[in-house]
Amino acid sequence: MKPLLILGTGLAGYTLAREFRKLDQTRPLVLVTADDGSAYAKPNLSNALANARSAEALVQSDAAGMATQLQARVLTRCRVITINTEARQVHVVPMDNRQTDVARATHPSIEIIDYAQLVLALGAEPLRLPIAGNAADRILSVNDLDDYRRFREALAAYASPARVAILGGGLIGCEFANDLAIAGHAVQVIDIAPQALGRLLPSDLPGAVRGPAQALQQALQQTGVQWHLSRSLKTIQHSATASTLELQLDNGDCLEADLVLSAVGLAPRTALAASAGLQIGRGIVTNHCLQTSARHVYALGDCAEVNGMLLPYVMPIMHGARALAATLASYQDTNDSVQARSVHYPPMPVSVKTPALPITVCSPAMGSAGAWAAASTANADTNAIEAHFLSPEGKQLGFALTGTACSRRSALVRALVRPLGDALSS
Amino acid sequence: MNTTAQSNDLKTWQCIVCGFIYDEEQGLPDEGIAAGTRWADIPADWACPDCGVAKADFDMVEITV
Repeated sequence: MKPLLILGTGLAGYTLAREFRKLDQTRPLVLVTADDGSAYAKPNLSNALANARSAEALVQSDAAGMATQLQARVLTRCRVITINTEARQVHVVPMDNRQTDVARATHPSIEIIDYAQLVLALGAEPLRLPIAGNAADRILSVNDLDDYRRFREALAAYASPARVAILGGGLIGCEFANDLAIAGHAVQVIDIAPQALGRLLPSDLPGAVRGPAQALQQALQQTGVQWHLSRSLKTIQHSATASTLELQLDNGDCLEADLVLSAVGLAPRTALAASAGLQIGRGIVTNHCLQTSARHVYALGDCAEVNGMLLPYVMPIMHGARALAATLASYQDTNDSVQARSVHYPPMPVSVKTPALPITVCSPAMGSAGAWAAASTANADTNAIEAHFLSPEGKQLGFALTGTACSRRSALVRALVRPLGDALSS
Repeated sequence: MNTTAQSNDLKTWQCIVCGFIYDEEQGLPDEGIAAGTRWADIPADWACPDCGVAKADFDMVEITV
C-alpha cells in the first residue's frame, strides 16, 4: 500500500496527519520537513516572552515523538526537489544546511518516494523588503521555530532593555512588539501604512472618537512602543564601533537598534508546486476540497490558495485538515479514487493577541460594498470599541472589537450575513 | 448548622495552541457554556473559539492565578 505523503510538519502538516490517523490507522504515513520536525504552535512565538518560555519550551514533541504518536515516518532536514505527479513520485534529498541550495539530480543521496496521495503543507516564506546598507543581513524573520530560536539567541546577547526595531505593524509585528515591551525591551515599529493592522482594520471609524487601530497604537504606546507610521526603512548600517545598528528611514529619521525583526508579510511557498506543473496563483491553487490541479495532490495551510483565498491563520487549517483527512481516508486503492469532502468555513474572526488591547476582527469579503461605523452602544470603557461593516442595505458583513468588547464576538458572528454563492460558507 | 465550604477552586485553562483562556468561573455564556462549568464537563465536540483546535486534541494547561 503506497503511503500518504505530507510535505511540511508545521501546524498544517501535523494537524492533517493527526486527523488522518483518527480515521485510518493502516495506510503508511510519511512526512518530510526541511526543519527538525519539532511540533510547536506558531501562535506561541509571539507571546513566549510574556509567558516566560524559552524557544525550546515551545516544543510540544520532537520528530521522534511525533513519528511514534502518528505511526509515521518523519524525514527531518530533508527537502523535496522534484514532484512527478504522473508517476506519483517525489525525490527527497537531505540538507546539510537549511540555507544551502541543493543541486538537483546529481545529488548522491536522493531518496525516491512513491505516494498514493500527496499533501503540500509547505507554509509561506517571510517577505523581505529590499533594504540597503552593510547590515541588511542582520534583519531577522520570525516565521518558524528555527527563526525564533535565532531571534532569542540574538536577544539574549543584549542586557535588557534591548532596543528592537520591528518592520511591519501588522498582526505579527504588533504581537511581537507587545511581547517584547512586556519583557522590558525598547521597541520601535516601522510601517509604510498610516496605522497599525492596515490590512485588517478600518482607517477611521465614523461615530467614534478613535478607531480600533488608533486605540491599539495608543495602548502599545503606553507600554513604551514607539511608532514610525507612513515610513519605510531605507538603509541599515553597522555603527562605526559596530556596537549598534543604525537605521535610516525614508524621511531621513535615524534610529538605533540592537536587533531588527521583519514581519512585513508572507509569500506562499509555490516554487516546488510550480516546477511540478501545478496551477499557481498567489498560492498553490486548490478548489473547495483542497485539491490542486494534479490528481491526488492537495494543499493545506499558508501555502494554499483555497477558492481564491489566502488565509494564513490557524482556524482555516483546522477546518481544512478535518475535511481533507476525510477525503484522504476515503481513498480506495482498488479504483484509485476518493470521495472528496468540501471544506466549510464558518465565520473565522482573527484574534490579535496583544495583551495591551486584544482585538477580534472579522473582515468583510474582499470588494464588499459598504462602510465601517461605530456601534451605538454607549460604553464607559473607552478601550472597548465595537465597529460594524455594513452593506448599503444595512446588512452586517464584518466587525471589529477591541478590549472588553471582544466578548461581543459570538453575538456578532451570529449577526453576520454571508455572501451568496460562497461555496465555502457554512 | 455546619456549613461545609464548597470546593470553589474553579480553575483557569489556556489553549496551548493560541493562548485562549477559559475561565471556569466565567464560563462562555455567549456560546452556551454556563458560568461555573468545569473544563471536564465541556462537550467533547467543543473547539477553541479563537483557533478552532478541538477540545479532544489539545491539553488545556491549567493556570493557577
